[in-house]
Amino acid sequence: MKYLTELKKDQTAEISKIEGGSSVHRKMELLGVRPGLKIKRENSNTLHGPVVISVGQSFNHVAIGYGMAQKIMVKI
Amino acid sequence: MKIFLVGNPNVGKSVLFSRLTGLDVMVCNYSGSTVEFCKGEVKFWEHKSELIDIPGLYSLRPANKAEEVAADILKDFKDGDILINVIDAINLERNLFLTLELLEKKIPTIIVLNRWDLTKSHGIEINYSKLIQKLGVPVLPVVGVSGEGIKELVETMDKCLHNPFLSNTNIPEHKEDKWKLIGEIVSQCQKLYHHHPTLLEKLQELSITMPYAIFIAAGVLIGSFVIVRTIGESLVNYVLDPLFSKIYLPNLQALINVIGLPAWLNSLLMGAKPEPMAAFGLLTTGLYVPFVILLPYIFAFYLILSFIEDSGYLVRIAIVMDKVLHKIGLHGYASIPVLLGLGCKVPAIMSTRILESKKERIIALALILLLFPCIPQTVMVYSVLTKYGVTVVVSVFAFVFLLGLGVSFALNKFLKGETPELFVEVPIYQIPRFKQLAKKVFIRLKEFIMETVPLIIVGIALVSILDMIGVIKIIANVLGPIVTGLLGLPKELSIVMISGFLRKDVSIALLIPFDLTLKQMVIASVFLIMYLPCIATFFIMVKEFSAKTAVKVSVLTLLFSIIVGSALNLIL
Repeated sequence: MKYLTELKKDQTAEISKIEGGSSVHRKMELLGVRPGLKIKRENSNTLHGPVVISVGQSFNHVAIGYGMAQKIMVKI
Repeated sequence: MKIFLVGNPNVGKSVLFSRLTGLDVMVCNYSGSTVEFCKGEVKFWEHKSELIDIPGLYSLRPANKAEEVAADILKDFKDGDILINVIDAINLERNLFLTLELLEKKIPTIIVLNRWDLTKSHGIEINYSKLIQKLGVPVLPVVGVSGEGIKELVETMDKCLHNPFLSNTNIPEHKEDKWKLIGEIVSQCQKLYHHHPTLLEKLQELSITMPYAIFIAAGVLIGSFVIVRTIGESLVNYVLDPLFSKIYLPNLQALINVIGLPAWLNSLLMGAKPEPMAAFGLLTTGLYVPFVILLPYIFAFYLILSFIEDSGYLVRIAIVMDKVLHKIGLHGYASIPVLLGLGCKVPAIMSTRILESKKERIIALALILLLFPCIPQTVMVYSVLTKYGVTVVVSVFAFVFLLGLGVSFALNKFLKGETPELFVEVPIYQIPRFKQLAKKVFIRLKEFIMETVPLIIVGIALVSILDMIGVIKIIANVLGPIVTGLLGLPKELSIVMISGFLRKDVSIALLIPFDLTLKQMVIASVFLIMYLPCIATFFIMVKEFSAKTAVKVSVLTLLFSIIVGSALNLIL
């Protein structure tokens, strides 16, 4: 298990757990970010900026602020 | 009878809306570009019905103010109305959540798979007849921007109005089960193929990958600035100014000499001095300022802004700016309203709706109002100060910018509340279509000519008339102590300040006849950029925030700019 922020560019993983309250969950869910889904990291990790990932079986690219990305656990 | 267009943000609802109604609406390539709903009329066969374009939403349980507006409109739904649920064909999975929520309401619904043309280039194959089976409502592939599939959509709308069909699919109540059902539907109806990344996709990657992203962002901003300046300046110097000074003005003068006007009317229409900027006549300065000085830059600015909006780059700027904006209590998405504020404060303030918390919206408002003047005012300040050299121009804008930054920094410390994290979908890059771009620039220029130009002319007329009947002297004597004592400016400038509430660009133009010293010019420019929002901005603040906020903001900025102006007067 790793945090989303630890993923390298182009690495794929599966979301295993999202920490944080229900409002965080809901927000993520609506953009299609939820446990069980396959994701791919689309950018590298310089300067602790937002993490960009592509989610699921489509072209859903999502940018997630660094602090929020630290709440997402993934398994590779 | 009403038809509602509903869907996730940035799926192309507004494009469909203008296709179906023939009305011009703003279309952009980022989430939340429609913050207010649009209404239009569609006529097909014997039907005449109202089409309502609802701001994008991800779920019927709203998450921000723009989504609240959307969810509220849907409450007006009556028997006989129909819904068109617009889905982004290359983003089926995420879009289906809202679809299931809509189907659950048992409302007659037609589903449109928009951007169908992109599925092929992205290696996606959707079996839409299977989707029809699964969802139990009509599903139509459509390409909004080219009009492909619109005819079939209209036919289906007709059928639906005669014989509304409801979905008989069983929609599970819990959201986990909804997502499970979506997973099933997607895996049965959609296949993905490997495809080679296109050039645009490679650019997409670079523009969010450090350090390239920073270079690209800097390049885009500097490039835009250079292009706007080049287009604007060339149009002024080589086309519009010669037209005005060599053709229009001499002929007008000749005509007036033939007719012969009474002195008062002559000075109202033609003004007091021969130079078009300093004359202050309705037919000289009144037309020169809006059409020769402002129009070229406004055209150039909106051409570039519309291009960037349509390309999908704005969201990448938001990603690059996220880290920096966190220092002043905002997240990256706030850079969109702030950048719009370079053009006009009114749409910029409206777009603060895409921000969630009150704290963010207030800080964004401060940035919009204080960081830089709107484009007409920027152009006026630039054209007034440019004779003193580049350093002066740059210092004035940099000073105002830093002050604005300082204020938002203080606001962030002072206001309570957390800064939410950036969380936003990233649209794919698209090469803007010429027709759409031209339409957008046209809408914005039309707005400028219809709404702004009359105000500029009224502003100039008002000043001339007040001057003629002696009111300016009275006002100058009343406000004189503040203007002269604190700011070190001639007391006659108080009228400039009052007219600035009407149009801020006019107030800058009004400085020209006064023969100010460099120091006075700098103080006056800084003061006039900051001191009050213009009347249109004031009313949009009342609407988007509250009357109390609008008054509070205006009083505070006025006091603040008097302090800043007095300080400059002491230091310089």
